[in-house]
Amino acid sequence: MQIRETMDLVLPYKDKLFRYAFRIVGDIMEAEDVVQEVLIKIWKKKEHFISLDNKEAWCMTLTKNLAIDKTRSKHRRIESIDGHYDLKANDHSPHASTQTLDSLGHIKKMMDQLPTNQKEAIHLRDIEGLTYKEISQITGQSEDQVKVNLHRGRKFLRTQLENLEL
Amino acid sequence: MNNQKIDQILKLYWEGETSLDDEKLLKAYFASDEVKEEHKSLQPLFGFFSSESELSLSHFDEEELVSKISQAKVVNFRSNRIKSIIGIAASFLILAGYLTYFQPRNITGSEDTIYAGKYTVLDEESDTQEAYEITRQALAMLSHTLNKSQNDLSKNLAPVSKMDIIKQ
Repeated sequence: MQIRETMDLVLPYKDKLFRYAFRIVGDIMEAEDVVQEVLIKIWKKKEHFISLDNKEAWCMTLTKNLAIDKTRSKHRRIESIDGHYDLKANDHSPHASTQTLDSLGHIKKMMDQLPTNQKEAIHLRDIEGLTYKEISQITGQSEDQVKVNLHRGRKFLRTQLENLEL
Repeated sequence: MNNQKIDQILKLYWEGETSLDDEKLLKAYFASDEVKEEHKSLQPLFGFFSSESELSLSHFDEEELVSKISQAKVVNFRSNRIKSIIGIAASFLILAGYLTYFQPRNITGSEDTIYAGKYTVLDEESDTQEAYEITRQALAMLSHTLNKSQNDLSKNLAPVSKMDIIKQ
């Protein structure tokens, strides 16, 4: 199988892989590097990759492992991601946009406070819309444990949001 | 959408028990203009999820990636298998060489050590006399060695016993 044919199987997931890497490393450039490493690794193991039934779950797991390696390998600088939100100009007035941006920044910070398992579960479910079974395959946890992590993570975010309102 | 139904789905949502369809309904509700006042505080949360799901790779050059991949060394599972077989064969060769050059030699040599070799080939019932003779010789040799050691020890300790410090 040629490079292009292999990449055609992976590229539909590239944004999903990028978001997952970004959730873990917290830096756009590093997340892009992770995705590139994932794609190279897939090419190196193409025979195994082609034989897989659930390619997406395997790619996500690979992304997770490489992203974790990256966070361990170097001390990351903490970067505000406020600038990474691309809000549509006609959705809100400038004032409303700023408020929304603040809210999103707050929630991003709340997400960062979550334990890894809960953050991972919320990302894969609420952002990527994966099934409990898929999340279980990627994280290596049982479906029940995934649900528990979702419950705890969402409860924390809800409490934090309510406190913000007060 | 029915407010009561939203409340029911939200309750399940906090418990982590909603289906994907339920969650789509929630996202649609919070993206609409019909969000109830009591739910307004949750709107940013679902807005955050929507916003995050739209993040995409901004700097992705497929040509550059293909070029990088083509330079990467491909792991060929077939060649790996051949390497494993060669490794195993090499291990066997080393083992065979070791056994050829360092195999245990038959017990030959001096008279003192020959009894062990003899003993291993003795038939207990047919040659008891010879077994008795070998055992007797072995014990005699042991006794001789012990006597010799005792004499040597006494001889070496004699000057020490004459020392004043020992006498005191």
